[in-house]
Amino acid sequence: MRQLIFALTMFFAAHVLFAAQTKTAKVTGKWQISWEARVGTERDTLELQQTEAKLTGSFEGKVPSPKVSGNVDGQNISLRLDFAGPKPYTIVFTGTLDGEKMSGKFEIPGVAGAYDWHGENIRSTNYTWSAVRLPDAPQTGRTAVHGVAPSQPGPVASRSGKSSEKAQ
Amino acid sequence: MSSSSVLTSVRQHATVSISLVALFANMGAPLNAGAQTGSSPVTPIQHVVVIIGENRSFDHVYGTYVPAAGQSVSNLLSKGIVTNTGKPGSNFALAVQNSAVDETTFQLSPPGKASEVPLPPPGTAGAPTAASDAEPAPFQTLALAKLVEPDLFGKYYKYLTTGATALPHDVVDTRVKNVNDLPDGVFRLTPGVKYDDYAASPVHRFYQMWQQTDCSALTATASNPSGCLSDLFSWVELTIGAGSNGKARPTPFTNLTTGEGSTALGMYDINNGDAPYMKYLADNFTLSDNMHQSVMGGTGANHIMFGYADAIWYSDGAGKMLTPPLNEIENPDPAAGTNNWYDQDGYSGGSYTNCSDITQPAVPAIVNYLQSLTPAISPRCAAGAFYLLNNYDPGFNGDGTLNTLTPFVIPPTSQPHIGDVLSAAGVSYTYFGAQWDLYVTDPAEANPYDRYCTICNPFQYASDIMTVPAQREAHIQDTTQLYEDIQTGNLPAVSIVKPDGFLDGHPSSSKLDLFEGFVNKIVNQVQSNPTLWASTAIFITFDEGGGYYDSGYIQPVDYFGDGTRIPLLIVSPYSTGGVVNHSYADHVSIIKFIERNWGLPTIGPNTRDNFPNPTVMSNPYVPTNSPALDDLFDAFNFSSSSVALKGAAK
Repeated sequence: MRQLIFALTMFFAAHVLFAAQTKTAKVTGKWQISWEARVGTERDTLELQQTEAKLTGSFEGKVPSPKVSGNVDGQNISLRLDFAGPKPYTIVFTGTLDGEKMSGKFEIPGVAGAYDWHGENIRSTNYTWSAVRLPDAPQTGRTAVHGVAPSQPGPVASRSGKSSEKAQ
Repeated sequence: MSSSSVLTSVRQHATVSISLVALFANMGAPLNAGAQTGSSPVTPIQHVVVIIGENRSFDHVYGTYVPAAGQSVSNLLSKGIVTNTGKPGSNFALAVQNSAVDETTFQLSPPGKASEVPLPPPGTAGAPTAASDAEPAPFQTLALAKLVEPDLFGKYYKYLTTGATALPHDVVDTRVKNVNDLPDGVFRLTPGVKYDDYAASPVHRFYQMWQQTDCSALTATASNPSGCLSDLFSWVELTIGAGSNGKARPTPFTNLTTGEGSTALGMYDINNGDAPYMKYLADNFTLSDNMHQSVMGGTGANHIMFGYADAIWYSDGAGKMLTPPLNEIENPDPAAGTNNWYDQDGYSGGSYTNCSDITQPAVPAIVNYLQSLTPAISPRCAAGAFYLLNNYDPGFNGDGTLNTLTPFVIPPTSQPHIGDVLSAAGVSYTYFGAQWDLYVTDPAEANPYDRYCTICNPFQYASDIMTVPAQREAHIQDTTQLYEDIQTGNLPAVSIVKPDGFLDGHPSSSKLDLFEGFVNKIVNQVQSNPTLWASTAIFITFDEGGGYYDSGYIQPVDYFGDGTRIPLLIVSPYSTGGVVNHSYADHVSIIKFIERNWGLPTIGPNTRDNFPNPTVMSNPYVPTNSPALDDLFDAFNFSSSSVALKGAAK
């Protein structure tokens, strides 16, 4: 009997742990997103609104604002930016949430090698992205994410690290 | 007032608003020989249009060109290096290529030279494998190509969808006939590689090109007083290619590790159908067979020399010279245990040199060579200046903000440029960069179709232009504005025109036929406006030879160059008849033409535009008063009012 109770206890504990791990992350708020484009690092502000698993939002940057959409599934996130204008294009970011940061890979559907040619040289672009929650984000989103304090290292540190690697 | 009228007004006001910085910088600067004061042109040329393509040497394009009766040309065919079908000729040995040994310090003319037969085969490097919208160009669909690219017309659009290699990257280019049994010199690309095909891009960096041209006073002769043999093109491609970026040489290291193989030796056959519009222009107007890239190496430094008649240096952004970070300083000395694998050099690595300091890497090799010539040539290096020798992005974004997108940016410069001289004299000028409007809103080029060339615009490096919105508006525009200006007759006195990356002719990312289409559109439009055509000279040239072999004489004029020959076409009603001009010229010659035509001072007291016009003896290609650069006035016949080709659009 004691063995059965122990087994049931372990089962429920595992279930609770699993449920906690697969609980849909809360990403509502402002983020600074950055990725390596052809001529350098693109850095923009993204404000996400989460309704259950669906994401909408707005985008601030030098690049004309795209339509923002996406999904959250557990800690996995998928973002889609549809840029309009005379030369429309889309960037799809996929990755995971880790505290106050998100990171992963991106692609430009239909233009896979988009950034590999830079002026005089072909470089193998690392199609990665990252985002860091900005300090003025709403509390509701921030406290729910693993309780990480909002004052995380900013994107400058994250980007300069990558740049240093490239410079070697 | 229409938008174009407003823009014209802005330009006029901006040019009349004299730059005090430029004025003071140029006080006391000597006038060119024959120049007159004032801002009215001294010839019928009221408009100069300079179109700058990318990466083709003279022999690579015009190697088999046969000029009109009564004209002569210096090329592969006339020298007997190739036959009139592009095969090896009786003097093929003049272009023979060698391997060499350089294992200690960077040498201009390394020892241990040995002929390599057969020539190591050319590679595909990064040339596109398949036509696909997934990785343009080429595009898979014509509709997308037309949407993305506004600077072509008619038949040329289809070339944006054709020409993929059908081969992987960095393998032997098996399209080349007898690719594994090539003689150790130049080879014909076509018909194996079709003229409309993409192909690999050879290395074209500063120290690589100095080494490829293999210059030594010990090999100087009366007909070749610089002693440059141009016999190490293949070896440098194979041993270092486009640089190390400070990394160790890969293991294993083969003839295809750099991806290029002997790409530099490939040539087109204009005598048998290649480059038809380039041939048409040469047959009907004036072709220079002694025009040179002004700096050894690549795009950025050559466009800078065109704008400043000088190289620019690392600074605090406010005019004070500084020493750049260590990993940005060139060190082409071979890494330990290697033959010619540069220790620190690359697009994400070393690109600056203080050539006033004889202890710096590579400086003794070049300075000692220049001093050993007769007469000795001054390196023209300012004390303490770390000059930018290869591509780094300019210090400003298109909206005038500081460029912090990448570490590899040269700080803003306050060195004087030709725009200062033109503004001070009230002569209007505009740089028309294709896709400028898109780029201003997209500085990192996040848009995959944004192929504006940041490093090509000499004014984007300059504080006095980029920090003043009215100056930017007046002097930097998209090519869409160029077409409107031509149509409305509001073309500035001086227009510098740069295609985007799809059309600039750069191998691997573009093709020569696409550049022909870009040029054809502009020439047609100017010719269709009779008043404009009667008063316009169109200079069509390239930034550099792209690393392709050339057999022409190279005149050392300072530490930075000159480099190999490049094509120059001079298209106007006063330069007709298929004339071949032999006067020694480089990019700064066009600046000299502008200065003389409008009676302007030189950019500065020590800039290259102070060099005299060449004097020659029996050999028209070799100046006897080096360093000397022609101002190209002798490429025109202003005594004739002939406009025979007016409206002869092709």
